[in-house]
Amino acid sequence: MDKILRYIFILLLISPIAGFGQKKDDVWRYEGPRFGIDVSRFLMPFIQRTTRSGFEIQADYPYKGNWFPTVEAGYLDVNDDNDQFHYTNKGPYARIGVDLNIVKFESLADNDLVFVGVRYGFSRFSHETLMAKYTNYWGTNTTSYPPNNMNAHWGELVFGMKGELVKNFFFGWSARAKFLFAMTRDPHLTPYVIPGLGYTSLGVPFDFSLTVSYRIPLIKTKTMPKALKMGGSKQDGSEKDDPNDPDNNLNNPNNRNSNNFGPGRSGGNQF
Amino acid sequence: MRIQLLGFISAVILLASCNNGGHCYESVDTLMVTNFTGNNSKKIGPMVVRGYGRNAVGDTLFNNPDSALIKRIGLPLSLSADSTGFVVTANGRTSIFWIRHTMNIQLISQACGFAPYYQVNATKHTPLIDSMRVYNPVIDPKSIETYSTSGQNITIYLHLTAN
Repeated sequence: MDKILRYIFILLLISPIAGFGQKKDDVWRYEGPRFGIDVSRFLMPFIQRTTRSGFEIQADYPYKGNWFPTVEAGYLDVNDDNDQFHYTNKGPYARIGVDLNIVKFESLADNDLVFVGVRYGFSRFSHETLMAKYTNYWGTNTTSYPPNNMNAHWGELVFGMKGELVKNFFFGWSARAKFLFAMTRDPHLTPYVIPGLGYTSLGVPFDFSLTVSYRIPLIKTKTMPKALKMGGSKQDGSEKDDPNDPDNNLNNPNNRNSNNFGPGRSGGNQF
Repeated sequence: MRIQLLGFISAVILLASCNNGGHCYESVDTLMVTNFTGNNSKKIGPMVVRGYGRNAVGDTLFNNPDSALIKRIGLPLSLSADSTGFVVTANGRTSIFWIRHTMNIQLISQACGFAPYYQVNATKHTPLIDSMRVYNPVIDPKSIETYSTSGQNITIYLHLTAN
């Protein structure tokens, strides 16, 4: 826990400093595919007693500014060896889905996201009981069960945040509720953990991820993504980002906010 | 960004507090809930139950000197054989009964480990037992939960002498 707190303090220090490295002459908006890794998989042994190890990589791509089609893939290896049983479970998993940014970008250089999303997850894994022991009045029974290949399908609801700490480098977290749709049956044991889904003993498994990612700045633009129109607000039906829209026009003084990366500091006419 | 960091801090604290600690809160004792009763509403007096072939000191499973119309007990079944025998002595008469079953050991949870699950296939008894009735042939770690709610796996009707 001490390590986590230290990590948080470092992040708090980095947060305001990150803005000082920005050039103030000309501000562009960069977009492109983002590739990341879930560092919580490596931090977990310091937080919880766990027998799990593995990794997870993630990628997303912006679509019309606020939508982020996302792919995640990983591998989990469980090796639970104790006095009563020795159980292994390992296999790859993948998720596909989309995130939707629910807050307005405050400037061209603002890439911070607060998002909700959905995922479809799939895992093909193999589990095996190398030893299971049970003792009662009549004695002790020790048994084992051979490897069994299993499939699982599930869905996820995601909420998270992602911020650009250093140019093109993002740090974010997400919390997830997961819903198991289907799984191969095994007569001897229902796996207590499924790669990519988590513990099956919980009715709705919750998960948490910390992501460090890098965006490849393939697209350079002066156009702000259109802010999301929530229910009840006026809809013009246009999907295109309109520079003449007051929300997008950076000549509008109302849009020159005090964000560290904001056009208000660039001082130039953006169009 | 501050909102994000605050959210992150909250989430980390939440995550750290969610450590399940690996404690087992479920039953791992697989016991056959058995009712003993008289065949003609006579009370059962002092009663002793032990496993068939288990005659050593400490092998007694149940020893109750009181009189009652029904006596309830959770009996463990064999982990290696496909039948389990019990010797019951009630009102001074000794009887034997056998339970034929299949068994497989299943995982309960990470914290609790494995436990046996049984399916009762048949019963057999000596003449001093009147009859046996299987109410629930599935015997698993949750069976014992029915102990306090009058549930049962099996009832054994004893021939009792006048009490």
